Amino acid sequence: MIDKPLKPVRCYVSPAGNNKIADWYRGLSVQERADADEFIKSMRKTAIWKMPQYRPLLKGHSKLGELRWTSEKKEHRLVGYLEKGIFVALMGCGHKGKIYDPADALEEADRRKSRISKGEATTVEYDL
Amino acid sequence: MISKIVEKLRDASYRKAFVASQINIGISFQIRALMKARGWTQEKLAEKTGMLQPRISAILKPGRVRPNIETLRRIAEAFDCGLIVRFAPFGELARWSESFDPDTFNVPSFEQEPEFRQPEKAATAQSNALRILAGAGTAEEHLPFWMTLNELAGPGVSPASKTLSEAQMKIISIDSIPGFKHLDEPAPAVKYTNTNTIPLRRATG
Repeated sequence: MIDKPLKPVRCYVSPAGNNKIADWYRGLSVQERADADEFIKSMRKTAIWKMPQYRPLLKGHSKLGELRWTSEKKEHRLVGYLEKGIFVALMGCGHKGKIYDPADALEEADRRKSRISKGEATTVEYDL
Repeated sequence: MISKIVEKLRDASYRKAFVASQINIGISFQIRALMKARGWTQEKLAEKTGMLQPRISAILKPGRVRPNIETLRRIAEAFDCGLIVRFAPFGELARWSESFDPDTFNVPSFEQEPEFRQPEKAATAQSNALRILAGAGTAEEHLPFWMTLNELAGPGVSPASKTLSEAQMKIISIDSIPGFKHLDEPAPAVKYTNTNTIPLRRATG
């Protein structure tokens, strides 16, 4: 087994108590879930995140970044932010051209991040 | 983490997807790690493989393309390393996936492999030697593939008999015995084909 610590990843939990990353994960097909598992596992073992797997500083959302991979011919994104070495996943979504699916994914990610900072929402360890 | 994957693999559809994910996603991390270990750019790998740089770029994006065996063979050739394509139990595949480290994964090129470095092999044999105490039996199955029994036995030992008596103790490189690479390791037992287990003992002088 790999003996180095995995990079911590946490999931956004809404004020109503829903793990929104788990909700997104459950909505994926089996192949998409397996690909997401393999991708996220490999990224958690990678010390320095960089392009093309991770893109920081999304335009207009300077504190956000996204994990990027392709599965079933669809672009997948896990939008979140890195803070003190922890990646907080805010939003799982698709991406085609320059359009996110849902289209307001980044705005929603901003709102979620704001709720966490205000203490209205919480996070849990990524355990999918 | 391993318990999680064990739980998921109980689902047949996930098992099928898991195998595909090792190719879809895992391969790109392996190639990236090999490039990093060699200090290669995408252009360099493209040149070595005879592919276009945008094709390499796509291969390096997890899941973007599913490289076929011919593509993987060309990449292995560029890195001058082997490519293993074989069927395996899920447990083995899961352990590989769990233990894979993108930051440290590397495969030496042929020239970097210790057992193929001929001049160094001779030096190692002198400084890093052990005696094989053998009563009887064949040692062929324990030889590296590049070494014949004649080479192991040396002059004066009949390979036809395929035996090595205690009086014919021979000193060979410790590195030439598969699975016994370090002097600090306890001496392993070697099984000969027509006898039981015969211990290897380290040279005393």
